[in-house]
Amino acid sequence: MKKALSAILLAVLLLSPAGCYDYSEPDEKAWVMALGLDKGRQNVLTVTAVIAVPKNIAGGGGGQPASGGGGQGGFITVSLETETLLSALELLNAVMDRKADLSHNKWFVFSRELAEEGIGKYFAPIARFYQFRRTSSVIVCQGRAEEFLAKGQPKLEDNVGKYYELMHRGWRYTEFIPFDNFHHFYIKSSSPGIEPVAVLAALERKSPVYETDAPKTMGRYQAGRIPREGGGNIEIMGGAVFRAGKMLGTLNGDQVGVQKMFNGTFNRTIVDLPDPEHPDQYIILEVEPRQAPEVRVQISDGYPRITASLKLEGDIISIQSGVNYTRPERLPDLERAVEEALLENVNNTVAKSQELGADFLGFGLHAKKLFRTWPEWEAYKWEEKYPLAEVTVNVDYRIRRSGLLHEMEPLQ
Amino acid sequence: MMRQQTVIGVSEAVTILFIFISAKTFLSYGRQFFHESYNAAWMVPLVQTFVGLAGVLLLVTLLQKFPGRNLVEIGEELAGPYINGLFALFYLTVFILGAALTLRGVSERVEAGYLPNTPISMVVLFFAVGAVVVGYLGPEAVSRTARFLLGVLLVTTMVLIALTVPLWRFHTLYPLWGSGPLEILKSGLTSSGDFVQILLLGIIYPFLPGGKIKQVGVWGVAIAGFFMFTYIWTSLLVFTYPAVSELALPSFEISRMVNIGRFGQRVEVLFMPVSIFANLIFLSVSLYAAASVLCSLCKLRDYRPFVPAMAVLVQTVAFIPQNVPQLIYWNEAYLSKYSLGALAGILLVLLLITRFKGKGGVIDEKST
Amino acid sequence: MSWLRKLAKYLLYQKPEEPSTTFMAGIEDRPVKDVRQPGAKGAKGAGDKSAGWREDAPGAEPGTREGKKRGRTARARKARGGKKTGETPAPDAVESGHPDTGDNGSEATGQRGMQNGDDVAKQPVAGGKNGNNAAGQAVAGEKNEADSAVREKYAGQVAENQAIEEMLRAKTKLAYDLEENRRVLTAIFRVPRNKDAVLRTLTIGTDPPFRALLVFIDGVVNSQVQNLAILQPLMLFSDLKAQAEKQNGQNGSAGRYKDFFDRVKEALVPNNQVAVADNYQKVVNDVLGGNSALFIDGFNQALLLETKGWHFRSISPPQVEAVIRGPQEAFTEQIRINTSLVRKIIQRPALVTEFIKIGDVSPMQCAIMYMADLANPDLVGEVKRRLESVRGDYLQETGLLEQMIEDSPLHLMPQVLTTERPDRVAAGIMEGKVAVLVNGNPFVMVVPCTFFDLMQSPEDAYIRWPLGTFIRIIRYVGLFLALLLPAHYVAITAFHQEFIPTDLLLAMTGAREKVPFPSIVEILIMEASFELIREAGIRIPGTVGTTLGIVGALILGQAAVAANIVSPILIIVVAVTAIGSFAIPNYSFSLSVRVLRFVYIFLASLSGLLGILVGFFIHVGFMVSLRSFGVPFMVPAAPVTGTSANYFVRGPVWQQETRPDYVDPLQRRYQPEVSRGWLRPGGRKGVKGRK
Repeated sequence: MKKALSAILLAVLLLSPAGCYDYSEPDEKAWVMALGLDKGRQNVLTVTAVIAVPKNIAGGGGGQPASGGGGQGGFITVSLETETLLSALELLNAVMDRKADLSHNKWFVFSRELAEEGIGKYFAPIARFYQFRRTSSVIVCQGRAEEFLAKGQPKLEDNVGKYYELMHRGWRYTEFIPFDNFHHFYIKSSSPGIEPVAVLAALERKSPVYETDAPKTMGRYQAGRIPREGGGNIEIMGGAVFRAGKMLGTLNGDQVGVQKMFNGTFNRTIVDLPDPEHPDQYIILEVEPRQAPEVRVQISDGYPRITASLKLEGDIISIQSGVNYTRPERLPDLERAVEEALLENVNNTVAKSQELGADFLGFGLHAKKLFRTWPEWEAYKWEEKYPLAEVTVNVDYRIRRSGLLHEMEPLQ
Repeated sequence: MMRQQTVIGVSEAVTILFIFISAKTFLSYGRQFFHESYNAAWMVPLVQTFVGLAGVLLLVTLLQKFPGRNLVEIGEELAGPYINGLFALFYLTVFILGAALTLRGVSERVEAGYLPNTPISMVVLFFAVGAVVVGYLGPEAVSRTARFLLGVLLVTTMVLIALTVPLWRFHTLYPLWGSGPLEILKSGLTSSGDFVQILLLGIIYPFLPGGKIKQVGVWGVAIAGFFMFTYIWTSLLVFTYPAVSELALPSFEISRMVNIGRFGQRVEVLFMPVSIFANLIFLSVSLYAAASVLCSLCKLRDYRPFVPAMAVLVQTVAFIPQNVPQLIYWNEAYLSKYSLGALAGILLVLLLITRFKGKGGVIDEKST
Repeated sequence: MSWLRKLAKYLLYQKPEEPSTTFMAGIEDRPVKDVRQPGAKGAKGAGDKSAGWREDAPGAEPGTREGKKRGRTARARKARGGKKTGETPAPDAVESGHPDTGDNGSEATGQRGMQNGDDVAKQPVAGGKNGNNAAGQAVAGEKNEADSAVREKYAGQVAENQAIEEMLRAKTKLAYDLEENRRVLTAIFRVPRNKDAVLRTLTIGTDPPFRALLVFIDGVVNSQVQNLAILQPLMLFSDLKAQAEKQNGQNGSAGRYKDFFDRVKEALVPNNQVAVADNYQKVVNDVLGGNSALFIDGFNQALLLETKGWHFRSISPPQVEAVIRGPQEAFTEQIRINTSLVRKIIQRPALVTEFIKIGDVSPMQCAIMYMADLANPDLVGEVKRRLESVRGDYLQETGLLEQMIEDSPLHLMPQVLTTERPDRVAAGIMEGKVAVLVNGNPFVMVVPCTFFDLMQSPEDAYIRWPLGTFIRIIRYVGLFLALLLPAHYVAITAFHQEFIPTDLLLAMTGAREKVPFPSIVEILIMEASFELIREAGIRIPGTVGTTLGIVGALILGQAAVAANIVSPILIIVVAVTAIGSFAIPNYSFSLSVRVLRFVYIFLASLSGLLGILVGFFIHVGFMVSLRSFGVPFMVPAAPVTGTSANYFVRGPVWQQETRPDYVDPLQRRYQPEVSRGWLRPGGRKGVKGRK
């Protein structure tokens, strides 16, 4: 006992001069909340780091909370011209007084330009770096990431990290924001049979997007093309399809919704359905998943034949025309109309994926089951066969609730 | 009640046995399975477990013939001091190499994930101090410490697994047979050395309650097999096949993946105790077992002087690998390949001698 | 001759150590120096005298025990230099080995010693400045040295004390002569100086009258009992009965009683407890314990009469272990009351109270209580063995005794459960444990003790089991927080910042901007000041107690933050830690947690969570290898032993069917399988099942 104690004491004494190598106070670090990558102007890359300014964020600790002009409040951005992503982190220490730390990083923003050139060599290797988190989001922004991050001033909160997190968290309640964070992006990129979709983002567009006031489904919008005034400077909607680390094209809101339906990450959305009886009026419905989509893949003549069935349900939120669709005998009409509308979306999306040659809907994951071993599956070369596959999708929608009203009296 | 001789209860014995076998799941265990069996790697631990069960039954058969004596003493009785010296050297190698690679491995893990700027020697020293102190306190202390911490280990592991369930992607299980059934079987057999730690049973046998050894061995191996399977299964489902084969420390990456809302992320620190405790228990057990082998070999009564000596040896060996890839490679090449085969060979030889001598009626009196 | 002298000294010095006495500890010399005439002549004279009587009767010295004392005397004498002429130590050395055992001898020595001692004691008392100074210096300097100046100076007194001590130890028999007894007792109690001891002479009013002596200590006896039950019957009514018997024509008392002494004992003292003593030691111990001793001229025996009249605190509510539901009485300082409190709860004949004399002070100072039909005899034997082997002068405290009998003194963990609640002791005894009661202390030790005992409060059992479970879990949370929260704070803020939610991290960082200290210094400042406040809070006199609260709240609260010395979140950490440590029911355990907390903070500052975890691993390693009276400390968690589900969480009362396995009780079953008899249609079947 005595000996053991003295051994501990000895160890403690030996250890204490060794010092505390990793000891660092939180106020000795610069917390990077987002990293942006652009094609460089003076070097290979322009890396933009968003660094939180804690004294402006901590309430009551003195200093006014951030609400002032762009970039003056809760964060600052630093753009550095470097060769690689992580060398920027090193260089950052020459610019900032505190040690840059990535462990609270929320967003990796790639400019579309860079993404279309291929970002595989930038993002895949950083998974090796211990500060990097696979739970961060992958964002592709229209325009330069530098500008995007510098102007992306949060409106509701001081903490820019919270802003970023909540922004992407919208995938939970809207179909327009893709689910894939870095982890899913990465595992989808590396496995044959499915392709990732990154979040598409952009700064607010100042000039008008559309010329006329003709009706347009909101799902047709995508980031950078949302007609609006006010709100935050950043908008995220739609997705960027990747294959082998290279961006192939963009998806609009509805297409992202379909992708999420097939990936099982779809939670709910709202559909504006033109009234079958009054084409200028709308019925607004909520759509939720009922079951996981049923996908059957058969291989005939060496090419896949895919049959899928989307099972959805939902509520009526509003009927503009006041037609009493809520009567039991009328409901199937409405359901059929919804199915048709959704099917159009789905078919568009499938066509888009076959056109891009990227199976972001994940039909390949179902095709995998047909094979006995992995080498056989790899030898099939799904990504080559998929664009030529025959895809039949069936949408099954059921109305469950009709909201707080049952039948409406027409306005007199 | 006032008994002061060393006693290890069944539950403590099962605990140290299974922790001793399965502590490697917190290091790079199973890395090669993904390379050999692809997405069917989860079957490999099952194969290993069956091999391990066979091994433990063999060991138990031998031990049960000599109640109250450990494997080294039995070997001495059967094979004579010289041949048994070789055998004991093998046991010693298993314990010391295992401890050294684990010591380095767990320190590198801490280095990789938690304390990147701390010198490796300091981390190693921390682990060594913990292991030496508890190892020095004896098999009772080690097993009870393990038993006491078992709750922490189990709960944390279960929580970790439960938190990753939303990330499970079952499609990765297909194509079902990965690289093919034969390849899987081969992978399981060549890496069966992951269960060589059943050797511990031969060392602590004298302290176990009589007649319970079979129960201890089977349960220990089965639970360890279950955990190794769960571990491979979880990492496979979370990271899916091609990505999972890249990881150096899958269990660490799993804990980094946990994300239950804005508050519940980056929680790998919460799961640090599991890996640290499991490996500290592994190290203490190894140090004690190595000291005990030496002690039996030298026919001394007290193992304790050997514990610090073993610790020094283990530390020295721990620093032989030049880098982490070499460490992982050594572990796969020397420890988890064939070592169970060698152990089984020794056991078979000893059993044969028993049979042979038993006919002559030499052993029977002593063994009964 | 110097080598001879050295050799003799060496030989004498090497005698095996006798059990220490107050005399040898050298404590009792101090008060004496004030009252004694320290003049060289007086001391010398006394020394000569005391040495003299020994030299007078060297042959009468009893064997080996005397030898040592002789050695001391010789040394004392020798140290006085050449004042003694013609004296060489060699004869002493030879004499010391002289084997002579015999009661007569020892008695004779004792008596002679007393005479001399008496003389010494009667020396005129006067103050002497020189002497005082000298003695003071000597005491300060080297009071434990064998040849200290004080002893040299007061060698006579030392020898006298030694003689008394020896006489008591040798159980010297009483004398027949009353005067002789009186003289000896006067010496023993240092009577003219000591005003507490009263030696009252009286005449027993029989025909013929007998001279008698009543010895007692004033203040600790109940004078009313003395007057009514001893003095009155002896002096006034002692002959009435005999006369009545004579008048009635019976053949008198002569046949019925052996002798007069027997008659006094049997017929004349209407006292509830009477014992007979035949040696001074027993007399002295009983008198010191509050009894009165009655000596009758012509008999070498004394009657010990129960007259205890100690003043003690009455039974009051528990101070430390307060409960909301449950009995509200606590032990007091009086051991007899304490045993009765336990017996009041366990009214079974198998409850045994054994008294054990510990150390060299007085008997009846320590009792062990256990169930003879439950407690493992091995355990009882072990407790007794340990208690009996303890030697020391002042062990009248549970805390002191605990340190003497615990298994691993180097451990921070208490290995003995100390409680002031009789119900808790009773519960422990009914589980087969052993309670150790010490006179003069309201805390009772229950052994063996496990970690889980330290975390339990009797209240857990008194409230319904789901609620008991809840508060017990709360308490474990408190333990965790008290032990590890500050360390985790350091580890996480300084090493694992990624774990902190971003919002909190930025808030903390922002709040820290103006704090000049690193987190570790911050937390040490706050923990240290909190410990200071807590310690001061205990020591502070009650009347000014409230000020401390105000000061503490100011220091620990707003002011520290406002002064930018600590960050606000740290206040919460320290406060929660403090609250956690107050939730630990056992005081000594709570103390050990307070100390260990700093170890963990240190480890955390060294290498973050790794340090804490390695420290915790070692901590657990030590805890599981700890034993309390042979029982593993972490039982039944590690090692696992069968027990009712009651150690970590609280199980339903009707499921507590067996006693804990680890104490290995003689009866395993606590209550029958069906303890709620009314559940069975047959009615009270369950009750019958009880063994």
